[in-house]
Amino acid sequence: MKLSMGPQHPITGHFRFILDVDGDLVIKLDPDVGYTHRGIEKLAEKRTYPQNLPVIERTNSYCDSVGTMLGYLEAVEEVLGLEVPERGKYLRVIAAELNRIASHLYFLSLGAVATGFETMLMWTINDRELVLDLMERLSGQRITYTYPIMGGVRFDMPDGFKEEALKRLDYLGKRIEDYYTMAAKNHTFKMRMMKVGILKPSDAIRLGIVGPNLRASGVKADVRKDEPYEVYDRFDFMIPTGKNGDSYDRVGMRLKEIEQSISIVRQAVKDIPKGAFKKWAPYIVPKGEAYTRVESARGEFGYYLVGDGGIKPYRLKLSPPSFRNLIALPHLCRNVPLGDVPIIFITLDLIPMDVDR
Amino acid sequence: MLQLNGGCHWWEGGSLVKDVIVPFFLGFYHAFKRTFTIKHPFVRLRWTDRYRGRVVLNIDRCVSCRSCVNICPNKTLEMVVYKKRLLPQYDAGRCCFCNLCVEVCPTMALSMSPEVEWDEYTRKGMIRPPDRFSEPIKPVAEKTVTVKILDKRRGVAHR
Amino acid sequence: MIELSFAEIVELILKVLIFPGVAFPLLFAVIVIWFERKFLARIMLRIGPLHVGPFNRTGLLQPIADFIKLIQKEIIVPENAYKFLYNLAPILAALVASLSVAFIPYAPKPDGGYWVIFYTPLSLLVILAIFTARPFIMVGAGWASNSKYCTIGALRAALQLLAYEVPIVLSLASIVIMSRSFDLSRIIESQSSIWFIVLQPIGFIVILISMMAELSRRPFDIPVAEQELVFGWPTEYTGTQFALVMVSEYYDLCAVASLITLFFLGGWMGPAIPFIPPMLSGIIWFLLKMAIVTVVIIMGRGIYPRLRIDQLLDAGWTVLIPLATIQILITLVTAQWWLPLVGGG
Repeated sequence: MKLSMGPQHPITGHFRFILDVDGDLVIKLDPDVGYTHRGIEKLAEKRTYPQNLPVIERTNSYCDSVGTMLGYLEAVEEVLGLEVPERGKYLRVIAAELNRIASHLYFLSLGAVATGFETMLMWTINDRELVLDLMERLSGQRITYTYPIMGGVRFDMPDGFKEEALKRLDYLGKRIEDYYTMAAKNHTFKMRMMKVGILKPSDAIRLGIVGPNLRASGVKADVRKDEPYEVYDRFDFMIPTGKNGDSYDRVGMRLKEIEQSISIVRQAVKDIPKGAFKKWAPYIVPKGEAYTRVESARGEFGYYLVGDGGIKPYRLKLSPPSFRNLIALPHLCRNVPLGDVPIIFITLDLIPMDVDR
Repeated sequence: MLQLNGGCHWWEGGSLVKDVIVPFFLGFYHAFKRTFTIKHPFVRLRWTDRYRGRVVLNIDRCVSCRSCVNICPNKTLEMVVYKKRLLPQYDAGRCCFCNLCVEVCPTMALSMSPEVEWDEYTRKGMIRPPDRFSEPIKPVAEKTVTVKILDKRRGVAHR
Repeated sequence: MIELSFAEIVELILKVLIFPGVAFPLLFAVIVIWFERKFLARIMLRIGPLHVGPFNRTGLLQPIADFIKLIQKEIIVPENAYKFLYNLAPILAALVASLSVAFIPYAPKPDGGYWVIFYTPLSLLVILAIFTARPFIMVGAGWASNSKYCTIGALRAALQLLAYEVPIVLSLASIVIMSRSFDLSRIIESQSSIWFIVLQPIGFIVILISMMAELSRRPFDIPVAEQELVFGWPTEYTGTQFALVMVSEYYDLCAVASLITLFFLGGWMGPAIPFIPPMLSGIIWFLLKMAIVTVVIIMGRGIYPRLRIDQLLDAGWTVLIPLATIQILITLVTAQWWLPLVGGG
């Protein structure tokens, strides 16, 4: 029987899965993407470099907008040959890591709701609010910040931000214990998550999986460590890796990464240098090209930018993490029960907007 | 019979007693904590000063330079004639609150206000000609709160 | 022609319309829906219903407001549905669910009888027969909707409900051995000195889990799994029909809470409350125990994620049925020591 799951379905978001179902068993899954295609790559060619900021950000707006924008800014700054002031770099790291925490909390809520676990959904969404509050103090927005700009960041750290951030991150660090008790150690949750959608390390590398999903399979790969951008080489953090590569590891990976991000923000807030936080950036970008990659919350985000010496980019190619991870979905959804499809889909952390661009 | 891929049995989820009972009591305990959400229409969240809500125009300062119109990525702003002056008109339906127009304004005539509740009933009403564009912001509601106390044992309190 | 005295007629009307009859399950449904929403909201650190009703923003009348809203809505029948069965199923579901209350005794009467609408010495069997009818209504509704999600949901419902009736019947067998009767009121009477939860803890756990599965409450709400099948077998129902389906679920919850109370928690047994006639205090004790059982059943929704159908069936056939059988064996072996404790007889 063919079952068309989505685009209007409680879990799939703006995807459609065409499932070959035999009773309660999914034999084959065929993702049908394109419901949120906005042509961001083409839009970027029609807008000037600063105008592109809010557009690029909306590739992955409601989860990880800073992580998405950093790659674009890195590319533009590489073509420009622009060096960002130290304080600006630190502020970018703070924003990116706070955003990663928010994104991972959002992931946890979705992962819980894929199994019908509404309590975890509300707890994580509530605690995400604390992080969004911090970002609101920093950037003036809660979801789409447009906070980093060419040559630095938009605003300086407000007064009292440091104390407030430390206070809230302490609370968040304590709350994670509750998440472990309620979800990660919950018998029923484990039953649903363990051994579901096992992605072997060899398969993960062959399919080109990136980000936390790759690390959950046991491969140590993180752009923040491998090829440090901004000031990531100055912080002391580790890359957690999973053991089995199943959905349970993918959830545990996010929990551990939240802890690491909290530690990064703590360090960054403590030893942030004084000085200018942004630098004047020219409107016209010279001829040149650049490929940059950043570690956004979903994984490695690649940008290829070609400037033709004008005010608009000649070509901007995005290679978003969700698009790369999408290939794992049909691979993992072979001969699985129908109840596992939402779990595999959600734990791969696929965002339709990110896939379609 | 097809072989199922993945999934584990009922005994594989850790300790049957501890990992079932402990979450039960943790959940029960949370029922007596302070709620995180607030009673919204009666109590409202306080926005920070930096909050980027509605864009407000200061008519006296505007020099009709079109900088904001040029920078806007969404064609939100448009120059119209108002009282024999060329002034920007604001289409709230298109605005993405990116702050670019505020940054490029040479005379600081534009500013972001923390006003968020300005719904309109018609699509036409969202287009604000210069006179409504420059409306002063409404006073905020009487009881506004923000997260004040963070206590893991008793929960988060808004004050 | 049976001759009824005036007092008997009044009592019958009171029974049918007010206490265990029509009004009580409805009131139970309204209160439990409100309590469930409010209590689960508190577990999730939310506030829950807020606006409708008296007593300073408690949302007390929210279920009634929802019900009125649902009644106002248009009843949409899918084009390809088998219309007769489709329209009949929600009515049948509500009817069957409300039937079981008629056989449950809620208190002893001063003259020696029991406060029950229809007394029969084989009431346990009647209740089991009523429970057996439920999967067929679900399968009928799911099949008649002629929608893929509904069909899968109906099949899941059939698998789950049929699988979990067996442990229920098996662990009821040990109760019947204990109390030597199929009469629900006799089962309560036999717990006068010690409750069966103490004598049969395994049976209690088996019954609690199986009843939750029968009710399709959260850890076992596989037939209506929202994330997989949009709403399972009642997906296509709208308006009043949906309201009937919802109400039938809570009627079932009412019956199940009463049954667990009278099987294991001693029904109306409890210390007499001063200044209150014994019948009324019996009812109060019964309702109090029912409330505790209901809270435990409701809590499952806030604490545990949903299981998968194969895990559920696996656990049902390989764990609960052996456990229930072991309970029977234990009961048979130890009966000679326990039976003097069991009252009634």
